[in-house]
Amino acid sequence: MNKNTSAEKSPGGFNPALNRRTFLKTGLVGGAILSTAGAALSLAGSTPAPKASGYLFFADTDIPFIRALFRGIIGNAIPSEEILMLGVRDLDKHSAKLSPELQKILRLLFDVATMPLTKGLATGVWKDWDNLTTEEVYAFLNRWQHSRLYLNRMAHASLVQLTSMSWYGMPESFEHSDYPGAPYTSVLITKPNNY
Amino acid sequence: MAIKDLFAEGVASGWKVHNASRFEKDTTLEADVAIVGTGAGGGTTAEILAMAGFRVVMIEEGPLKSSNDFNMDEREAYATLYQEAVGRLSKDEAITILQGRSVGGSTTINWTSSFRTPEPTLDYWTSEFGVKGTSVNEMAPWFADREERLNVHIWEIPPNANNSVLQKGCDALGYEWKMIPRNISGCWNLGYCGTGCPTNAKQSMLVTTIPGALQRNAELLFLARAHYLRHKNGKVSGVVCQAMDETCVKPTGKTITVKAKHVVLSGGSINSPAVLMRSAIPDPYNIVGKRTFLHPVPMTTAIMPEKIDGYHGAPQSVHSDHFQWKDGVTGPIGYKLEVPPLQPKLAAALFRARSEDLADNMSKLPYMNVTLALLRDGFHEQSQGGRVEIRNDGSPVLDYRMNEYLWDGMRRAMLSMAEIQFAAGASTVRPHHYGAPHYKSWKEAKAGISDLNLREYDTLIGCAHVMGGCPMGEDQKRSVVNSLGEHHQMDNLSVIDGSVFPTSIGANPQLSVYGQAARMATNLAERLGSPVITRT
Repeated sequence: MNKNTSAEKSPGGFNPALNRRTFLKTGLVGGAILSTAGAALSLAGSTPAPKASGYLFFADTDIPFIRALFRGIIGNAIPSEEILMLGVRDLDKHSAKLSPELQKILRLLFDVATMPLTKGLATGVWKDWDNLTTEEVYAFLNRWQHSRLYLNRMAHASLVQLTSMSWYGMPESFEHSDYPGAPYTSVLITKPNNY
Repeated sequence: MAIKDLFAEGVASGWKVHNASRFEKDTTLEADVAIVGTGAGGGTTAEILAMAGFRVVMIEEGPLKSSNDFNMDEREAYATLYQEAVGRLSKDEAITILQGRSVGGSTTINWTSSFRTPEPTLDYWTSEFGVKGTSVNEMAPWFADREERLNVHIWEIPPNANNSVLQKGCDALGYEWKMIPRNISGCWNLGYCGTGCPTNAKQSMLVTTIPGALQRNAELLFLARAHYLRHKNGKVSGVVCQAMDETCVKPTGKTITVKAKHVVLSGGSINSPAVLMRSAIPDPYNIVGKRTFLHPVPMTTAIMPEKIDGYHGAPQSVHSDHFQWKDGVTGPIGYKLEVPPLQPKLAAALFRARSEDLADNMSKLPYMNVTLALLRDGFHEQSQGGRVEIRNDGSPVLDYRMNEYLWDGMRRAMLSMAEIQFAAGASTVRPHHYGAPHYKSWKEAKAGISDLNLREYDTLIGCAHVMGGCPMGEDQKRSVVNSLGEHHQMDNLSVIDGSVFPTSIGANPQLSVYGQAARMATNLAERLGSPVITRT
C-alpha cells in the first residue's frame, strides 16, 4: 500500500484528493467505459487480437498489463523478473481453461485496459503499462478497489483473485509462503491415466 | 504403484467407459435409465438401479480422473476437477462457487465431512414445504444405509492444528463443538481431499458406487455435457449431449444421443435446473432454478504463535453448531463453524488482500488458522436464495444477491470466529475483507468488525455447497418434483441431487444428498420394475 502520509487517513491507503479528481475521470467515465465501451468493442465485432507467440490466451498487447498486475498484486513477493514471467505464463494457461463465458469477460477487460481508445479513461493510467512505477500500479489498483462503480470493484476483485491464485500455486512461490509441499511424494505421485 | 487405481484395473477388465472428446462421429447409446451427472446424487442412483438390473448410462460433463491422476497438485486439480476451472462465480461475481466437475462430481474433491440432515431442517421441510417421507425417523434408515456403504464414521485421530484452534477456542468459551464424521477408509491423514484423494481412502462416488455400477454393466460416458432432453407429450425420450474437448472448455461439435426409458437429472443445483430450462420442460408455476441456496461463507484468519501447518492433516475434523439454532430455525441466520484446508493456492484465493498485505499474509501461512462459517440460508422470508439463468451461449449462471439479512449473519459469524480464535490464543485475527487490519485483541476485533463496511467485492463470500432450484414437495405450485424426486409434469423424468432441497441444509450436504438419493432411487427401481403407475 502507499506509504505516504495522506494514505494513512483513508482506508486502503488511497489519497483522498486524488480520489475525488480521479472519480470524475475514471470513476464515472471509467466505469461507464468498462461497460459501454467494452460492449461497443465487442459489438463492433473487432476481430480478436492474435495470441502472443507461445501463449494460449494472452495477446502481445495484454502482456505489459498482466505484468503490471503481478507487480501490483504480488508486490515484493516476486523474487525476479524471470519468475514474474512464470506467473504470467501460469495465468495464461489457467485463463485458457476457464469457461468460454469467463474467457469472454476476461478478454473484454483486457481489451478495455489495453486499447488506446479506452485504456486511459477506464484505468486512469495514461502511460504504457510497462513504464509504471510500482506506486503507480498500486494507485491504479486502489482506484478500482475503492471505486463507487461496482464494475471497477468487481474487475479489481476478480483480477486479484486470479493473479494471486496463479502466483501462489507455483512451486517458485513456495519459498515465500514457506509451504513444504505435499507429503509422501515418492509413493503418491504417479503417472496420470489420462483417459 | 503402491496404490491400486480402480479405473486402470476396471477398464482393463472390460468396464464400459467412453471418452466423448475422442468421438469422431455422432453417436447414439441406449439405456433403461440415463443419469445426468455422477456426483453424490447420480453416483448413488446409478449403483442402486444397476444392482436392480436396469441398464444404466451415466453421463458426466467433466473428465475421468482417478488416483493415478491425483498428485496433490493444486494447479492441475483446480483446472480439471472444478466447474469452470474453479472460476465459477455468481452472476455479479461477488461469490466464489466451488463445485466439482469430473467423474464423482463434488464428492471427488470435497473435504469428506458427512453429516445427516439436521432434524430442524427435515422438520421445516415437512411443515413448510409439505415434503412427505423425509421426517427424521423416516430418513434414519436411509442415512444408516449410506453411512455403511461409504464407511462414514467419526474421525478418531486427533484433529490437525488448524482444526484444534476451533476446538480450543470453543472449549475456552464454553461453546459446543464435536468431531466430524467422515466418509473414509484407511485415511492417510494427508490433507489433500480437495485435489482428489491419491490413496482412494475417501469413499467418494468415484471409488464406491460408480465402480459398483460399472461392475454391473452400467456404461460411463464422460466429457459429455447434457445439452437438452428430447421430450413430447409429457414424456422424455432421451438426452442430447455435446461431446466436450479434452480440456472440457468447448464442445467438439459431435453429438451423443442417449435414448432412455427414464431420465434422472443429477447435475446438482445450477446444472440440473439449467438442463430443464434449456429443454423447455414445462414449468407452469415458474419455479425452476429459483430458491437456489449457497451457505454463504465468511472467513477469518488467525496468526497463531505456534506452527499450524494447515495444509497437512484431515482438512475438516472439528465443527461447532453453537450458533446454528440458538435464535430459532427461522430467526436471524444461524451458522455452522468449521475450518478449510490451507494449501497455498486455495489460501491465496481467499484473503481479499493484495500487494504487501497479501505478501505478508502468505509469508505467515505455516502459522495460520482460517475459520469459516456456513450461513444457513433459505429459512427466512429475507432469504429466498438465488435464481439460475441461462446465458446466450446456453451455460448457466446463478444470480444470488446479498441483502441486510445475510450481511448481518456474515458480521455475527465474523465476530464469533474472531472471539474463538483469540480464545484459542491467536496473536492477531483478520476477517477476509480488503478494509480489515490484523486485529490484535478480541476487544479491538469486536469494535473493528462491528464497524466494518461489509459489501460485495470487499468481503470474501465463499461457497462450496449449492442446493435447491428444483425443490421437492407435494404442492405443484411450490415444487418441481414430488417427494420421490419425480417431475410433476413429466412421466419419466426424475431429479435426484441436492437441487431437490427446499432450503439449504445447515451442514455440509453430501450425506443429505446420499440419503435422499438412496430413498428416491430405491423407490424408482421399484416403480420401474412394476407396471407403470400413472400419477395424478
